Amino acid sequence: MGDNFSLSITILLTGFAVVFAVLLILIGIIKLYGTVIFNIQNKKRVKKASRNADLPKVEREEAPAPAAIVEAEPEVDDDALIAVISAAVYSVYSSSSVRIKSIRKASSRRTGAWRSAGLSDNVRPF
Amino acid sequence: MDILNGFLDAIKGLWTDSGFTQLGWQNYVMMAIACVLLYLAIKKQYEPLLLLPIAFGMLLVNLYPAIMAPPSTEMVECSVYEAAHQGQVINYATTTLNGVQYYNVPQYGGLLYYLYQGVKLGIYPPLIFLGIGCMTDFGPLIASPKSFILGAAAQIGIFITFIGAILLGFTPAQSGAIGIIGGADGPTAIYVTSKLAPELLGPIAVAAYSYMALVPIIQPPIMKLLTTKKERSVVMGQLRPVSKLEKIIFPIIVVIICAIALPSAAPLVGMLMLGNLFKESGVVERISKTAQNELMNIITIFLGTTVGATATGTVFLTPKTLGIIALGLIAFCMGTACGVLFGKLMYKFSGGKINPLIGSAGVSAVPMAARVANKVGQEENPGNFLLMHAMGPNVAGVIGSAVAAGVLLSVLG
Repeated sequence: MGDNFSLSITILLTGFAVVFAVLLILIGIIKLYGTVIFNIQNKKRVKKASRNADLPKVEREEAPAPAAIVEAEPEVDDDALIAVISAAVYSVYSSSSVRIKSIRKASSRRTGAWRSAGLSDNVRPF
Repeated sequence: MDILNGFLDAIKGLWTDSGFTQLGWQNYVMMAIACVLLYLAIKKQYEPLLLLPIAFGMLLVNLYPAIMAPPSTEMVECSVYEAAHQGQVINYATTTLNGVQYYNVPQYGGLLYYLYQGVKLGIYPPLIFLGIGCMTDFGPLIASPKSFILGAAAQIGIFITFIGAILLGFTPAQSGAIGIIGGADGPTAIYVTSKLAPELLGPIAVAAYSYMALVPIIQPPIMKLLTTKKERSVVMGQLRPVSKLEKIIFPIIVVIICAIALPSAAPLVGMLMLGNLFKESGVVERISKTAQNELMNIITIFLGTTVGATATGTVFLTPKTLGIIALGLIAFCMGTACGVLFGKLMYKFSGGKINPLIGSAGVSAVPMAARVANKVGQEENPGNFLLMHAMGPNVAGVIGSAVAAGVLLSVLG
């Protein structure tokens, strides 16, 4: 019984130590390579951005496209709407460096092209 | 008259062979349990993909125990055999007893006996892990590697239950197999038990899969008991995006570290990571789809049905088995509790940024445990979405339980 008890404590300590040690090593390695890859990819992105310098910066920081959603769902909760627009912007630019400064409802004049494209797409069969 | 006698003899033979005379009360009890599990699978939809084949296998083996019978030989007098087969001489081994020669005629085993060999030889669990790897997104874990701590914490239940089993008189190898139920990972439990204590495979597999199916019932009371309303309401920040390259490197690194540190965990972790590499590499889409759909489904049918078929009444309804079921439940509860308690520690150290509920998802049971953490969090704050945060510890738990299995196999195997 005494032998079994000491074996139990040995297993408990070994198991605890090994499981935590292996997983802590993995945490360290994942953090390390995560940082390295992030830095490398960030550098590449900066280079690419400097090459495409003709792209206006203001357009990247603002999100004009979701304005159509605002029109379609005028009674949506503001927080939820901001979350949806942020998600859309991040998925388009796939970068955390994008910052949304403000979200404004676009005038109907600006959405005219989208509206006419949508209308023509829907009414084409008729 | 001869015809009538023949008819009566045939009916008598059929009656003698039927379940009415062959089955004991234990079989009927197990059939009732199987029907309850079928009800839970179909009506309540508790992990139906697992519970349904398990319950049906249980029902089938208690109706017809020979379906799990191993192959055997029957001694038939050579002259009798040859007379029955028009004098055909057959190449069976012979035995001579008291001057009479007998053929050792092979009797084939039951259908489920053969399918069960994949469980017994430890083939199905790594194949299931292959499919799980193809379906798992390790992104949340890579984005927040500290989730690994919660995945490790939830494995403590395995080792504490080991002590309990030893104190109850089980051998060290049996105790290791019982403790692994606390990992809430069916394939790992089967793999470890098939190596350490094959005689307990039936009850341990049934207990492991049943508790996995009952996660939504077992975990919430423990989670609520150990956390305050304030802790449960914590809304966690958005996870950082993870690049494709990071996702591709992850399985390669994990398998190298785990297989070097713990070679006994290599079959499970190796197949899990192979499946994940299939998915993340994006170059073997066909293989990835097959592994996560057709192969996984076929193995699930075989594994579920044959695991259920190990639960015959005479074997299952014994104090020892009921003890295993109880210890398994304790292991599972301990795993959940340790995960939540470590979650509370991380809540304190992070200055209240981590919701301790996600610690409960450290007990594998992917993705059910993560869904439960999300659901309990939403009971306090309906706008709180913890699912992706809980997926980190959840998938870390799969790796953690495979590592814990490696420790048990190395020390006790």
